[in-house]
Amino acid sequence: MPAPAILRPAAVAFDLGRRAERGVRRRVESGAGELAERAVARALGGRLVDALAEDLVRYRVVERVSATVLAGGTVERVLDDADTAGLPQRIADRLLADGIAEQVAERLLAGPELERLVRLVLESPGFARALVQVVESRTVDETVARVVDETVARLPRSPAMWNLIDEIAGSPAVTEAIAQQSAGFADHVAGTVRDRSRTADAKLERAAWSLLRRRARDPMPEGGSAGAT
Amino acid sequence: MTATRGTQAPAPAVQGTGSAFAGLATRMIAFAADAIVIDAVALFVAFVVAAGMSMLHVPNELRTIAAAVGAALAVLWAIGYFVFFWAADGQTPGNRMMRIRVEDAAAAGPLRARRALVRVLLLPVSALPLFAGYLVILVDRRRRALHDRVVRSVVVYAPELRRRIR
Repeated sequence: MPAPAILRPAAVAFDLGRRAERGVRRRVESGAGELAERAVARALGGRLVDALAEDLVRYRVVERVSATVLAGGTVERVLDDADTAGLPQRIADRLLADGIAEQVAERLLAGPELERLVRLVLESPGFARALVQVVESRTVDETVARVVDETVARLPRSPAMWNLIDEIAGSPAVTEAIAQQSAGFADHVAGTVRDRSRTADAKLERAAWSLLRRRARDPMPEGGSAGAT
Repeated sequence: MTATRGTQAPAPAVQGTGSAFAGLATRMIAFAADAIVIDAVALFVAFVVAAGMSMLHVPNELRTIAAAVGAALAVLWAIGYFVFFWAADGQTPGNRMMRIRVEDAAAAGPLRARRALVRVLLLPVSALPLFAGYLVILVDRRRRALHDRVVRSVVVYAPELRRRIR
């Protein structure tokens, strides 16, 4: 609402006053800010930080603070609060949602660090010892035996395995190999039988001829059956 | 002894250990293999027929007749088996396994079907007098049995047939 004419000079004066007040305040704020920045910069660039750090070390401030924090259960409370608030889940969600996990994995796989790490682990004697202990441990033996038993028990019930066996058994390469093997074995057996039978032919014949010649050489005894008849 | 009269010593060894004519052991093994084939086929057929008849209600008289017919068919099958193979190329499957062949003694080829039939029918005759008809193989120059002499056939070692390689 416009001011009455009689009050107009007062309103102009009030407005001018407000403007002046704002200008002063801005200058003071900027000046104070600059002054504070300068003071802080001078303090950080000077010996104040070194002296403060030396005092912190000298009076074991960090240790005392951490001991107090730990003794008071502050860390546990902070962790409980974080857990209650679902912070790990949120962090994990954030990492996954933003693709950070993929980036880290991609970077690990692309870079030489992973190979170096794996090589370092594999070449270390400790890993070899641990591996031997794991392999020779009774737990592994029992686990392997149990897995093998269960696998053997499950395999015959698995249609996939029978399909695989059918595929392998029906493959032309396998059937041809079996046929060749069987034919080769049968040929070998038949050849052996043939050789032995021909040897037996000759032996039987020699035996028969030797028997006949001996009988032909032997004189007929007197009073024998031939003479009797 | 009369058995040695008119016979000579075996022919000199041909192809290694024996003569060109197949001897007693080889011929017996070939015959046994043929017998296995004949019996296996006959048993399989008999099993199939018996299984089929078991599904039907067949009187006992009919069963007896069927058994007699089956026996006759089995004999015919055995005779036909030998006649067919001897007349075809002189080699039954057993002969082929032992690589021997029945040949006409004069023509050096497979027997005619009629002579093959006579030879089959004479097999029991050779076997009847304590296998004397077969034992003649041991002293005959051409290793002939009694039925070989009658039908003028010989059994020779067949050369190895090269298998065709793909």
